[in-house]
Amino acid sequence: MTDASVSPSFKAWIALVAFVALSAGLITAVLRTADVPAIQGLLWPDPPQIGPFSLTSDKGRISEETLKGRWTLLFFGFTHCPDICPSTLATLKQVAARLAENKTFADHGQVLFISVDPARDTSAALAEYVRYFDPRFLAATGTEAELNALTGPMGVIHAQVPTGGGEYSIDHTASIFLIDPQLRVLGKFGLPHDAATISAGFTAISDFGRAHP
Amino acid sequence: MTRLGALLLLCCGQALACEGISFENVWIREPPPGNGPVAAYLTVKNAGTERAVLKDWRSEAFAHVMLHATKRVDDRVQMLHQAELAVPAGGSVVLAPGGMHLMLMKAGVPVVAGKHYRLSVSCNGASATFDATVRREETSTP
Repeated sequence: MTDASVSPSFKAWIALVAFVALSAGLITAVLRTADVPAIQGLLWPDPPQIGPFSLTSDKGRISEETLKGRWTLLFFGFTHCPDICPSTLATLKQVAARLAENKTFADHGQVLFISVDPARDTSAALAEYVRYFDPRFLAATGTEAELNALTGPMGVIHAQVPTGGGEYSIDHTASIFLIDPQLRVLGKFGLPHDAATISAGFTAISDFGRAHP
Repeated sequence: MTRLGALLLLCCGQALACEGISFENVWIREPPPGNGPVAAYLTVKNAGTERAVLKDWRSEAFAHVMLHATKRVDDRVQMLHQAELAVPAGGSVVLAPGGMHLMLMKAGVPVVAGKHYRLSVSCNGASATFDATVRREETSTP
């Protein structure tokens, strides 16, 4: 079909349909973002969704079922990480203490540490490691494929880097994530980790999440 | 005079090479259970008139000591080995959580709060020593 064969009225009709579609898209986009408050760390309007995954803890499997119905603060690391990982878990201990009076956290909150170093971190050693900070903390790890089922959708990076003598370190995402009871990754707290900021963020994001089921 | 100068250099050269260097706020983070490395933090001050270069960190209590820097790339962290630490004349360098730190590996005995360890470092070719106390970290990542 050549351009000459299209009638002017048909062109106008097409232009009108395109205009209406474009306007509808713009209005939808504006409406989706119009009610987003300025909450530090909030991932909205398109939070990543956690899918099926299965990891090992000293108490059995940790899966998406472990997260359903709970508000989970999640951090990825490894026990041979001497600086950021223990500092972050110490911060999470402070966050848990600050949120003791927050009913959402007190009744439905949990802290989960996932090791991206399954070669060195057994589930028993991981449990001992996190309970040093808080006996309520959970810890798990899994095979590379099992880890990727969770880290992939969340955009979490972890990569081994040789340090010589057969040793290695692991580059890894160091943000603390907040996952809501519907498995939406609603919050992300980057470095530097501050207990007051994360506690306030948890309260604001969980309030927002409950209002936006 | 020249002989005296040569004699002084021979006997005291090592001490003079590290003149003005002090180690402050030295502490070792009590590690959680496990056999992973342990981090030590400190401030190195250089009150001297020469730039100081520190390397070859050691401790009899640990099989290996390395200087590392935690580097942030977006929300990802990397640990980078540092061959040496340069402290400008009249300046200081802070090793603190979330940044540079000493990585103490393979402790011979459990590292628990309250214990003290001696560390040494080569400072412009001379040896300097300092003591570190283990304590439990309760603060947020700076």
